[in-house]
Order: sequence, then C-alpha cells, then structure tokens
Amino acid sequence: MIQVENLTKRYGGRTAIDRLTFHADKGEIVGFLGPNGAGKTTTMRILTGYMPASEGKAIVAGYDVFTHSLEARKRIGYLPETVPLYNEMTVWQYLDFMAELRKVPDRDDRVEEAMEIVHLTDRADSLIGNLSKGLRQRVGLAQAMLHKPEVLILDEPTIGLDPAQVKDVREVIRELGKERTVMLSTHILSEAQALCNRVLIINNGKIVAEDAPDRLRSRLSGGDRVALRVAGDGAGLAEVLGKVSGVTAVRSVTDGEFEIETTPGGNIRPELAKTVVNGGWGLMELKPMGMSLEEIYLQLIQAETAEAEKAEAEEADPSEEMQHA
Amino acid sequence: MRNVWTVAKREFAHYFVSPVAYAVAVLFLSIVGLIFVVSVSQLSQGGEPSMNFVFGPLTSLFLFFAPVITMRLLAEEQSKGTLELLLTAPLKEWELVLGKWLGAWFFGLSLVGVTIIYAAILYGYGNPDPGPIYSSYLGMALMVGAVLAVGVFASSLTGNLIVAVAIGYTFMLTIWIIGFASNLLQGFFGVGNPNIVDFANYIDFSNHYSNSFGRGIIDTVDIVYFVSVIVISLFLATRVVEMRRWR
Repeated sequence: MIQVENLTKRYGGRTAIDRLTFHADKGEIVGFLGPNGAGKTTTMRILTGYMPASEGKAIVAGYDVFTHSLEARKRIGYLPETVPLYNEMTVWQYLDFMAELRKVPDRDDRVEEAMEIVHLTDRADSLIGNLSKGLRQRVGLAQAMLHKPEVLILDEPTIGLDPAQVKDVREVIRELGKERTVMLSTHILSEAQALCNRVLIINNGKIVAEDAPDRLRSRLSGGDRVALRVAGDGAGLAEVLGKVSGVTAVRSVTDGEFEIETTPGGNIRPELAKTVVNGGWGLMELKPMGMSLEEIYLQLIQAETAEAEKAEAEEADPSEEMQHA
Repeated sequence: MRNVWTVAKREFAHYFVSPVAYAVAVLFLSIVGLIFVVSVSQLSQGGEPSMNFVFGPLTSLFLFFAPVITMRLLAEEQSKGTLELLLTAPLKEWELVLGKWLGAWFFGLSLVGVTIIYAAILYGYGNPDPGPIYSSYLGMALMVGAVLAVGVFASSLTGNLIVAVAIGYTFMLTIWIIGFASNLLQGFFGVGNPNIVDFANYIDFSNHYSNSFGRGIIDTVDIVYFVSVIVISLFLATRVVEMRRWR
C-alpha cells in the first residue's frame, strides 16, 4: 500500500530525510517513531503529496505521489500535525465541505457515519472554534476517513489529549487499521507499543530500526532481566547471586530490591529462587523484566548520534592536519 | 470545475459569518447611501438624476475595501495550516485560487447589488437614461472582479493578514496613480516618447471605467483590460500557491 524507496528531502543545505526505504501493507498499523525534528512530518508531507521530495520514489495505493499526485491524494486520508480546521464552521458544515471536496457519494450518510465513529454526533452543530482540543482532534480524524481512504496518514494523532481521549482515539485508529493501511507518527513510545504492528525508529532522517514492537524489544535488549525483592535489606545477597551461573550483573535498586541481568535464553529463575531461599533471605518477589521500548529507543538514538559524531570527527581530522602542514 | 464551485460556495458563505465582512459592508453601504442622499438633495439646484452619483465614488471605495475583503482568502489558509488540508485533497491549485476569487467576487457583487435600490428610487421620481446604468453595472462587475483578483494575489504572498492588506494597497495605489505619473513621465521623456505614457495610461485603473462604462460606452479595450487583470492576477496567485509546496 505504501512503498517508499530512497526518499530524500533537502532544505537548502540541510538533509531532513536521507534515503528512507520502507513499506506498509494493507491491514497494518505502522508507527513512525522518533525525536522531534527527526523527519517524521517531512516524510508524511511527501507521502500525502503536500511537498515534493528531492530524490527517491514513493508509491501510495498504487500511484506514484509525484507523477500521479491527484490519484494518490484521492486514496489518502491525512491528519496533519496542526489539525486543519475552520473555526467559524460547525462540525457538520466542515465535514460536509470536505466530503464535497473529496466528491464523496451519499455525503450526508458518510458525514453521519464519520461523526459516529469518532463520537461527535451530538456535536454536529457546534462551532469548531468552541470545541476542546480533544474534540478538535476527533473532527480532524473524522475528516481524514470521510472518503474511506485506503491509506490513512496521521501525524501525531494523540498529541495534547487527556488520557481518556487518548484511549478513545487509539480505539478509533485500531478499528480503522483493521481494513486499511495506517501510518502514524509519534514520539510517545507507549503509543507505538500499544497501537502498531510494526515500528520504524527514525533519527536524523534515517531509519535506525524497524520491527514489531515486541521483537524489537527482544532483539535489542541482549539478555533477559529479572527483578528480585526480599524481606529486609538483603545484605550480602548481591555477592551470592553474582556467583549463580548465567548471571552477568547484579544491581541493587534499593534495600532488598535487585535487578539481575542474565545471559539470553537460559531461564535461571528457579536457580535464583533456590539460592535466595537456601540462603535464608525471605523471598518476596521474583519476576522477569523486559527492556522497555523506551530504553531501546534511547539506546538506539544515542548510539546513532555517537556514531555520527565519530564520523564527523574523523572527517575533521585530515583537514586539521592539512592546516598544520 | 466542481471543486471551484465547492470552494467558492464556502468562501461566499464565510463572508456572512465574518465580522470583518459585516464591518466592510456597513461602512461601504453607509458611505454610498450618504453620497446618494447628498447628491439627490442637490438636484434642486439643477442637474440631471444619474446613477453616477453612486458609481463615481464606488470605484474609489472599492479600491480601499478590496484588500480587506480578500486579505484572509489565502493568507489565513496558510497561517492556520489549512492550506495543507486543501493541497493534500484532490484539488488543483488553480481550482482553489479561482474558487476563492469567485467567492469574494460574489460578495463584492452583492455589495454592488444593493445599489439597485438607488436606481429604483431614481426611476420612481425621475426618468434617468437606462443605457449608462446598464453599462455601469457591467463595468462595475468587471472592475470589482479585477480589484479583488489583485487582492487574491496579494493574499497569496504572505501568511499575515495585515501584510496581505498592506501589499494589496500597494498594488491598488500603484495602478490607481500610475495615470498621474504618466504626466510626470511625459516630463522626463519628453513629448516625443509617447509609448511609455500610453502604457502607463493603459495600466491605470481609473481610465477604464469613468470615461467609458460610466458614460454608457462599452468598449472592448476596457473589457479586455479588466479581464486580463483578473487572469494575470489569478495566474500569479496560482503560481505562488504552487511554489509554497517547494519550500
């Protein structure tokens, strides 16, 4: 549904996105994850035909977005980062206008349907200017799906919403993702984890990782981790645990609480439990800990940034030498 | 073309919920009304009843109101981010610009349309010559379309409403006074160089209304003039909107 090859966008001398290649299939929710300024919005603007790329190719719903922009645009629903609304119109007027612009057949029915999906039916005659942030976001979403597009592109769909609204909007997106292709950007990791079948982590315009959120976690975390809690302060326990085979590191979190890193694969929890009980420490809790996507994300981005700095330093070196010579 | 109509309809409807449009309408209609009353009351001292009472001042009034009527058309779309919505919908740039202009033009025509009341009053109490009235309305429609098209172009150039108005006034005043300047040019270049003077006079707005349409003369030169101002302005505005994508 979305096929992107070597997509590059330069603003003046700055490269916003650098040879991106990825794809998204039907029935998939793909998350675009990255810090602010990583190139998420730029990529989405290119995919929706808002701006052209400097290089590369992007095919959405079977149409090249550069050469067959209008055809591609007909099949895309887009929610930009700043929700584009006309404050002086009512919800119904606005959706009706958008439906007319998109030449939706049975306009009234489709507008009704879209309002129902995002739970806005009772606000049909409210002025958009009087709506709260969460409601505005939902109007934007309704607008994006009015014409039943094959591809939905949502730029930070839950930003600025309260937790209850976030839950609502996620529900809507999940529902939409069942039969369409949804591509959404976010810098909130739990969102990517909760919603997406696949996550693309992007930093400085490059994709640094791509996989299902769960697999990404197991692939990158290296080993397994176990949280352990005992009664009392657990004095001396750390040393004993360190000797258990398969344990690579033991870290004391607070009195009586430990984080234990183990070699991947081997399940040594029974061994750990035995050690604790035999040693006379009162075992309170023993549970596996996954590395959170948050940590993976930070790790990746730090590694990538460090690499870039290293490369820069290497480039800078010869010129320095030349100056000395 | 359906897209043009969709955009135009929304724009036209917007004027009737916009306080700015109401302010413009109130000011415009009060001034025109006042001028009409004063002109008619002076008829007792002689003179002929004529719609030029109204149309004469109307031309200059429109030069002042046009940039205010058109300021938000494209500038606001840009500042509020809704341009992104329109440019990612299956809508071509020229359809957007033409639709915007049509919406504004319909609003301008409805303002001018109110002056039909004055024509009715003149007919009720006197017997004015109908020819100049018809030609004046035709000329008015063209002139209003032209100044609004220039305003649409001004609005495409910026995302700031105040700046859009300022640019609009700059354009309007330039084509308004370039006729005066032609006299100066004549001084500079001597009488022997009539091309520049003719050109400046041709560009001048005021030369294409009061001496032709206002007197009941429908001249192709004037029609071509206004239509080309509309086409050129809207073409330029379309190019500016297209260029926004490349930034």
